[in-house]
Amino acid sequence: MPQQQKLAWFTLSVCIAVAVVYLALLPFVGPSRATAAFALMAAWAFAGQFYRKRPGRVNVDERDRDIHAAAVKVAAGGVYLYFVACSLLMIYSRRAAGTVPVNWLSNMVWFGALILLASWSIAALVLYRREAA
Amino acid sequence: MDRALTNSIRRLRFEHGEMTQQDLADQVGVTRQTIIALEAARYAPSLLLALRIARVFDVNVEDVFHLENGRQKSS
Repeated sequence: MPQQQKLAWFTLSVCIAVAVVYLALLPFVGPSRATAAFALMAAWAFAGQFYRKRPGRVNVDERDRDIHAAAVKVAAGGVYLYFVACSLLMIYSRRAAGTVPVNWLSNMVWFGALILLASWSIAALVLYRREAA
Repeated sequence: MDRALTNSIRRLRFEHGEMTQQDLADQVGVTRQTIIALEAARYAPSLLLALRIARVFDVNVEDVFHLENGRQKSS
């Protein structure tokens, strides 16, 4: 399995773990404090290990770069759609109040990062599977 | 990938001392998975990679990669 594909699986696992912990904390501490689950994203700091130089072996080649580029496009589109959806939701749900709670904005940013990473990893995994089939 | 692009990489590997996919990957600077994808016609290489592969087998690029269902251009 290419190193980048391993990274995609690792990233998706981190995203799923964050989502599961957030949903588990949500009924007990509320949406604001449940964002503590995003601390798990610090595990992604170990992502560099997947690109560690292995003597005598190629880590990332042109095919990996092509897949990464395609996955980034998908992730960018996904994040854009996510923020459009969030904006529309805020407009229609808070129209009468005329204001948006500040913690909504921080949650939106955190989930946006989660969407970005999850979209990239899913797109990369689909592309790797498509080329291997 | 464009299905009209086929290649003879697998045949050339076996003709050159039964070269393994890893050996070829090491010589052209890619991963073994890329060689697998190439042989399965699931990936179209860059020009640089195509030239490197042809150089390894000491043949022309057109002898490795073929357009239109494997029809070779006569020289």
